Amino acid sequence: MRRLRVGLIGTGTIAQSAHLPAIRRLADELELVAVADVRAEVAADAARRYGAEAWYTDYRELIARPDIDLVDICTPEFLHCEQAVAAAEAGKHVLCEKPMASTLEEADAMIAAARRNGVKLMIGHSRRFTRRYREVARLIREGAVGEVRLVRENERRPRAMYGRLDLPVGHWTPEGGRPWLASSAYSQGAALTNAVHETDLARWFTGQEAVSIYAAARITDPAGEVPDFLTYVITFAGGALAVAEIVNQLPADYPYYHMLEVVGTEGLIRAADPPMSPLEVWRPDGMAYPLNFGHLLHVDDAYRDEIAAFVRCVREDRDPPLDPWDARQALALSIAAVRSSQLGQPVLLASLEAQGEGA
Amino acid sequence: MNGRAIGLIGRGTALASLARAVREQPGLRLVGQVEPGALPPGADVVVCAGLYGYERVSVAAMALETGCRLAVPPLPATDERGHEALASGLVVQVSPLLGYAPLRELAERVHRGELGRRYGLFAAYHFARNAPTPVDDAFADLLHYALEALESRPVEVYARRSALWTQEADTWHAILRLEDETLVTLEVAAALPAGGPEPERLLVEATGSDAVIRAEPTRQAVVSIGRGGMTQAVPWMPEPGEGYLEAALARLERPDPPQELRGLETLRALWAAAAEGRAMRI
Ligand SMILES: NC(=O)c1ccc[n+]([C@@H]2O[C@H](COP(=O)([O-])OP(=O)(O)OC[C@H]3O[C@@H](n4cnc5c(N)ncnc54)[C@H](O)[C@@H]3O)[C@@H](O)[C@H]2O)c1
Repeated sequence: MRRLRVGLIGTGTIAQSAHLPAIRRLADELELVAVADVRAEVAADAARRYGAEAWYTDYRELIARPDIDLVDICTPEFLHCEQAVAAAEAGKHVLCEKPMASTLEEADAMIAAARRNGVKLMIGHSRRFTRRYREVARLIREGAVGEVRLVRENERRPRAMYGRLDLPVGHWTPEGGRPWLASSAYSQGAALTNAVHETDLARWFTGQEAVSIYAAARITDPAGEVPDFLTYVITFAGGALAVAEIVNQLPADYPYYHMLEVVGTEGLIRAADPPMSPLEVWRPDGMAYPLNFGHLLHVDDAYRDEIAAFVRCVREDRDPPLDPWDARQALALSIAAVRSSQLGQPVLLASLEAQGEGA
Repeated sequence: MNGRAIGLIGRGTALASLARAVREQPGLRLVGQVEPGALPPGADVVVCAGLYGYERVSVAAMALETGCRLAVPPLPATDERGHEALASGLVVQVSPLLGYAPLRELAERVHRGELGRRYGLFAAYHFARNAPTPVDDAFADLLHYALEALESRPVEVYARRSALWTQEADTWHAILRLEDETLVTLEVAAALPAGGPEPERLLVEATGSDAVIRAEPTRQAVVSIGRGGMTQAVPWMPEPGEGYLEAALARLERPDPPQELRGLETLRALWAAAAEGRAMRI
């Protein structure tokens, strides 16, 4: 069986912490041919570490290569549409990081480009491939808790979370300023950065479309320009609710964790990290969790499974396990959360669509 | 006999625990305990526990009529008489959740400024689906606790009151923005399976730049893993009387009617938000 040939765009944090190691683990099926990143030294270093034969600073050169079957996009979301559409037009299958895009118009353009060019498109909602969430989904499917009526996932992150991983690269800081994630020119904040995971899980677990969302947000990082704290309530068509509180700027050493509860008509499911912290250290000045990142969500396996699933669907010409429409709808909820937090009122999803307000 | 004369109104385990706490505390004298509908005679102050929302209002009204000083669990927003009673300064509200030592500790640490710059407070209060606790009363209790812990004025609130798995309201969700920007997220749900291993579950997590303070006062269990698989029993609940009594007496010592009324006004705004499906400014 010929190995599929992959080119990866954006060799930053998520690429180096998850995608590139996962591609290496799938070496029997995948060959990393080239990488691209606007930061030349970062691209060159990633190519060397992960054995890509070429690196580029212009992603279009990567896409122009006829020997690449699929493109893995790991750049900031405002670039996803441009790069995914270009890759699709060049006949490449596209795996793209979440959030799908920064507007609904862009998300729709990505879906249309994939269709037009007969290529597969999958958005990397990694939690769909995380064992914990797959197990929760299985229990729900088997009727363990009856009809799902309430989904709550809280997410907690310490400041500079990725600093702990000791990666050879940090976040991209355009114009040498603050990281793009904290800059209003490039990011819309926690609603898209992390809460798009929760909005996706809520749709997945309830199996319903959302009607409205109320969200409140704030900027807690003194150096930040976009909200890093978000709390919301989603109301679904069947009356179910989903709730989340996302906090991103907690003291260093606080565990990166998620706390999920799913309540159904017949029972409930809980999946929370703190009791599973694999290493805790107690000292006179407090408690530390030196090993709490990466292990708890089985991150490596999730990305390996995600990429392997996409490779399978390309090989077997099947639909991707996560329909791009689902990613688009999770994005719609996240954009609605941004809107709601700005308006101070609930936002109807239908009004977002009617106004074409993805921008 | 000397000592401060304490009368009690209420029923059930909450009252029994409170009575024990009064008896055990030097300087206090228990002069009587009655069911709602009457006031215990001869009391300097009266403390209530284990009352339904509507009973809380009627004892508050009775206290107002007779000039009795009374500590009562948070009043529901739906009755005008509560407003008058709180405005008089004779009646003070105390959240039964202050009976839990970890929650008192959390509030004290927040007051001491341990959070640094405050971000938010998340609280989830779950109890059994067949528990006698009305979800509206539990919501008032949790709200009151949260506002007291944070000591800042709510300026914008949103709420959902839903019947998610039964015919009647079984959940409350609320988001409050406080004057100091702290965001409060509250969830009250009669969600735990009837007859399950946990009668009640509470999680409060306050977040800030310098600390996360997390309290789970009901999380104590005996877990057994054996031939029958895993079972978990929570055979006891912490004794709430002592902490609740201390909070009630402290509040009666220094009534703060504007603060009490703010709590009631916030609860009203939350009911209005839930009814109208939009956020309310206070
Ligand atoms: N699935 C998950 O759980 C998860 C986790 C983290 C990040 N992400 C997503 O991954 C994406 C990237 O996030 P990150 O944290 O890795 O950011 P990052 O800044 O660490 O990495 C982005 C990389 O893209 C490069 N880049 C910028 N402009 C480019 C361009 N025009 N062409 C090529 N490369 C360019 C940057 O130099 C940088 O190396 C985001 O969409 C983010 O939401 C997903």
